[in-house]
Amino acid sequence: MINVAEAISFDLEAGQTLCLLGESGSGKSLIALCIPGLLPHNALTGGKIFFLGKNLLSQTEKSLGKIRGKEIAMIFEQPMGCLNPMMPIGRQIAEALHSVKKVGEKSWEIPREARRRLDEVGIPGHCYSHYPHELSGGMQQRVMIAMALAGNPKLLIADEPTTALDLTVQRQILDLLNDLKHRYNTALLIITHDLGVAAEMADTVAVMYAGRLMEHTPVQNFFSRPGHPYSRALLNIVSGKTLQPIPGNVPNLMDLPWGCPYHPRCESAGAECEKTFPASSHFDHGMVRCHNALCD
Amino acid sequence: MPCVIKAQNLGKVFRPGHFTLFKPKESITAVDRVSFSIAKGECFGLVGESGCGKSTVGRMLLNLVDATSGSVYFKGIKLQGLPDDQMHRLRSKMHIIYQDANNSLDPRYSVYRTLEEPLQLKGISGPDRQVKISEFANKVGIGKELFQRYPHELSGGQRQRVGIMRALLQDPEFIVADEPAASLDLSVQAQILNLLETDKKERGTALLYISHNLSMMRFVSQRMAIMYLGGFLEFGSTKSIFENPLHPYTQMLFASLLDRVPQERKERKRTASLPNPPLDNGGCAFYNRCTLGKPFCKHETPWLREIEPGHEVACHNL
Repeated sequence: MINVAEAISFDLEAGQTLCLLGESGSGKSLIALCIPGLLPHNALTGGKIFFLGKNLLSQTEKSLGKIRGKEIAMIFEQPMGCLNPMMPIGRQIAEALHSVKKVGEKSWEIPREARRRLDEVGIPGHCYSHYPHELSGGMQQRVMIAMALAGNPKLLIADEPTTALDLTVQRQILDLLNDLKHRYNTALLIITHDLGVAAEMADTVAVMYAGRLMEHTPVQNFFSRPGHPYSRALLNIVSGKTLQPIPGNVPNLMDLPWGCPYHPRCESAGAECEKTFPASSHFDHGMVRCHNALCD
Repeated sequence: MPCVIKAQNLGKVFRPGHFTLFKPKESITAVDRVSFSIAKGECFGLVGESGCGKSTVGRMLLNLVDATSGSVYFKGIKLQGLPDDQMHRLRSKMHIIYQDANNSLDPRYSVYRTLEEPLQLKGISGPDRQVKISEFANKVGIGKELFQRYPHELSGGQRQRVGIMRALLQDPEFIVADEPAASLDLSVQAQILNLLETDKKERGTALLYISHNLSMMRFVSQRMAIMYLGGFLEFGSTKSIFENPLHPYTQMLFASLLDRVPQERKERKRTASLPNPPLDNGGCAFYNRCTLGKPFCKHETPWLREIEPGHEVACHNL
């Protein structure tokens, strides 16, 4: 049994953006999959996830099916892997719209609506009958966004939405997500390892390390006054004249160090850090889990 | 500084192999008349969006892809038309590190065997190989406990280290690093780049660093070029390009870099527009995305001109 994520708590309001930051293997994608109940069956989950007052972890598969895609939607890193290669993109969006159709909506209006949705994400109408392979990575990601927003979801989870894209395209996709978020008043959960994306998009930032939430704070505080030594080290990497990597490696989740998992790499680690994992404490309108955070 | 590798008017045209009866055969110009040189102990950066031909340039320098036009000189020896046996001998002097470390390692070779193989081919005896490998492993940060593991048992950063170490073991004089750190976490990226930097300083390796990430360039390269649809748009010292980006495309790239200051997010202007397919009528390649475009830009190709010492830009509007 591997403990991949432990004692994670955060909340997210409509129209707000939360960025979950962390290195690969820190368990941030697992949190994303856990919310709509997409974890594999051998995963044991504990705790509660409240979505509009309902505890998602106690829902049956059937009622989760009604929430997925309609109220909670997801975007993944590799759009090509999520689009059907055999179906024109317009029809894929129409299919998504069909699945969230409300009673009283006419089926024959759906293609027109699909065209409008394509237009909304900045894809010209003549691309309606294009196949996914005919589009660039950025365009494919736009199609994914259009499909995800088909049911006007209350929560949109974007798992590394721009990691595979070029800089200029990344900018466009982030702008698009911001626009749509304001238009539909969607709550946005962005999972990323890119601090730039967090600075650009987030209202609050949550930092994960080895499956633990280390810091959860408003974005301004995170960049100006990070509380956790790990956040400081992350920000320091590219801030100086030369690169300053964090010494050591991310720990193996099967063989985590005792106490705070970050202590072997931490510059301000003390004797206490090797013994116990710190409880969360308030720090500058946010939460931080570090024995030394308040002494700074 | 002696020049290690030099490219002169390098060009590459790809012709699709499939048979077309009614349409004329289309050809794709991936690289168009590119010239530069890299000195000993220097790192030259190549930045561009995906599909601009930067990897093709890297491969042509190593003669892994045949150039359609132009020539590459490695320490004065022209690589095009070099007999196979001579090219073979030069191969160990020049190396490439790929972005996808997973696919560039043999899944059925243990780390030690992967590292040993190039030395074996050079005819170095078993004990000597062991000494050399353990000496390098220390430098690169691969622990001895990893030697018997297979690539799938390593993390992304460790795999990339093995790839780099395999390249360094043969004491190359020229390395092409094709996005060596793109798929890694920032902290691991920094470790990998520092590793290349140290090797460059210690042994004076010439390095071609290919990336689509402008922000890392500042730390690794001394000179750099901005590439767009096969050609250089801006070329010069990294410092002068970062301090004073002149080409509208370079400015656009800098504008799309995500700032690390969240407060300023509301005020920034939106520059990026949808990338359009290339024009093929001899005009400026960047014309249809350019903010300064004048009618004649559509028909006349701009050439690199020196705007300030050591800083060349291909734009009519400067």
